[in-house]
Amino acid sequence: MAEVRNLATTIFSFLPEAEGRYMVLTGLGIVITVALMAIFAPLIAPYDPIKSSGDVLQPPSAKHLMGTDNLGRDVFSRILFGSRVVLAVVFSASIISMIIGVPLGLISGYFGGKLDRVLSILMDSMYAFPGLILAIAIAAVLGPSVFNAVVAISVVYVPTYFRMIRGQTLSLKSLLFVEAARAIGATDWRIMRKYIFPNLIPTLVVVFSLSVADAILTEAGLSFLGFIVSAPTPDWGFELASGRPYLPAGYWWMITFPGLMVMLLSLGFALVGEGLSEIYAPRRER
Amino acid sequence: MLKVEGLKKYYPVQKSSIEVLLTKRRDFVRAVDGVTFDVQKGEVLSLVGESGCGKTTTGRILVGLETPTDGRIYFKDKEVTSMEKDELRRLRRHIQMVFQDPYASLNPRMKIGEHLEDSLAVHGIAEGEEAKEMAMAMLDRVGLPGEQFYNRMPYQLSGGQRQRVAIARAMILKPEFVVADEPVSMIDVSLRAAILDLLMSFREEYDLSMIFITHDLSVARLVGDRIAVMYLGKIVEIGETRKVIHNPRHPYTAALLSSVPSFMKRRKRVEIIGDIANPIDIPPGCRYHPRCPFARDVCRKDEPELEGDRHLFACHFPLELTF
Repeated sequence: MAEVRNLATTIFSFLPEAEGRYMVLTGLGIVITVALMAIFAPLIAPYDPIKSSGDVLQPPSAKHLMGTDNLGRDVFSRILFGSRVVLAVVFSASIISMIIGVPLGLISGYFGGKLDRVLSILMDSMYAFPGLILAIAIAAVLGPSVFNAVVAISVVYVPTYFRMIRGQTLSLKSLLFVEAARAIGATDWRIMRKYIFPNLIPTLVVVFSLSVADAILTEAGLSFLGFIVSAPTPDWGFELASGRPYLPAGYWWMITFPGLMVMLLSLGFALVGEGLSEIYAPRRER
Repeated sequence: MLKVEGLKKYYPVQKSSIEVLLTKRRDFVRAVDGVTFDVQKGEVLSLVGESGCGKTTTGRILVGLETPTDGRIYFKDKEVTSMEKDELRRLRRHIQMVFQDPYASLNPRMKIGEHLEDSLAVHGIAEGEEAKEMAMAMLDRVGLPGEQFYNRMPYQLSGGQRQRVAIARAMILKPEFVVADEPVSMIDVSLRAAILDLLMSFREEYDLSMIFITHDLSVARLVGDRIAVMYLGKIVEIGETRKVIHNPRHPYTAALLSSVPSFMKRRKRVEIIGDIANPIDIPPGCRYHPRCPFARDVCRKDEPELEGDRHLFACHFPLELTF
């Protein structure tokens, strides 16, 4: 995750007025463009992504914007349809991680004690694995399918949510307004729901976009290894894998365009996340 | 109404890892070190002392935010200290607190009106429209017109207005007992009187009993029926406000009194030497002796008991002064 985030901040550190809002706006621009591409893929795509057009391995031209692959399929059309798989997998995985990670972090941080220790050790040991390796291990055990990929990726990011939310909860629960809620007699459940959780939302938005940025890379990795989709279905990571053998022979477009898309989309989410955290808590001195 | 017996609160001291390895002894901060007093129905007791004397900790124990290390608390003849968590939570309807810092005591993501409704909801008093009406009425009552303030967020309010909300949130429960922890010390001087008036108006309306924690004797003499002076976790003098103010017996009370600035007349000076001692290493004998200009040998050895009838003080050589 660090690489994408650094890239996001580096690009914008040149602008003297690089407040978070430029980062967020650029990031949102990228994300929304890709989302529109995914939604309207059937309308935009010039060719059927699965049918061969007959012209094999054509370089980018007016007829085929991003060229054609070894089976004569239009790369641009495949990228459009591929974005659907990418977004579906990454979003559902991130939402599942959030649904699991947030309540666990909240409860762990709020109550502390033994439960907190056990959960923290468990989450830290998961966090210690490189994300992609852990995802590969899980996907390998479960077998290749879109659903299993979602499960694998969501497991990887649960600790990210858990750690952030637990930390925030720890600092929030010692604040006076939480004490005041206890003093009026509020139950723990009410305090977590009405006094702590609403104050976690800014953090949650930031963590969500950063973890999506990272999950895009993990998804591409899994897909590259063939753990998500199989043969004709288009998916960016999968395109990278099928284009790879042709790169040495000079057919660069099969691998370049899907690779750029992975990077661009990940960067878009990273920009949103970094920019928002800049807005919520400005930390760089000027 | 409320009776406190031998209340103690010790906090273990964080030690460095080397100290943990080398010594077995565990040190404690004796924040509250044996406090006994009672508050009658409708009475206001001011708890006065320097910062670090344990007055705030005492208040926090009374509303259940801290559990005492030792001692008993009785509320209307029922022992609070042995209650189950849930029973204690229900009791909080009757024992409310107003905090010192109005900037930190409101949830930054909750509307002003919701703060009041939450108090009602917690104790199942009212919900929905009924709760909203009660909240509106209470906002009006504390001088923040409901129409205007119900939908505002805390950051849109001034310190004084926030403290009014904090008071409203406590008072909407019609408590019988309120701990007010320095409720005006962070408020602009120009607004203090108004906030105090507001608190005291509830005292009359509900026949409230109150513990009013303050470091400021000039505030204590305005609000309190009785004053209890705390020093290093113990009460050193307690009695009717008039008596304590005009005829202080303990040198510490006298020193506090003579440090109150006054335009009217030159007060008698009673000196206080150095700084408050460390509550980890409480001096032997009378805990005030290192700072007392009248200390003699006995004071260094024997700790004086809190003695007297109605006007109690813990001193071997009480003063005979009139202020």
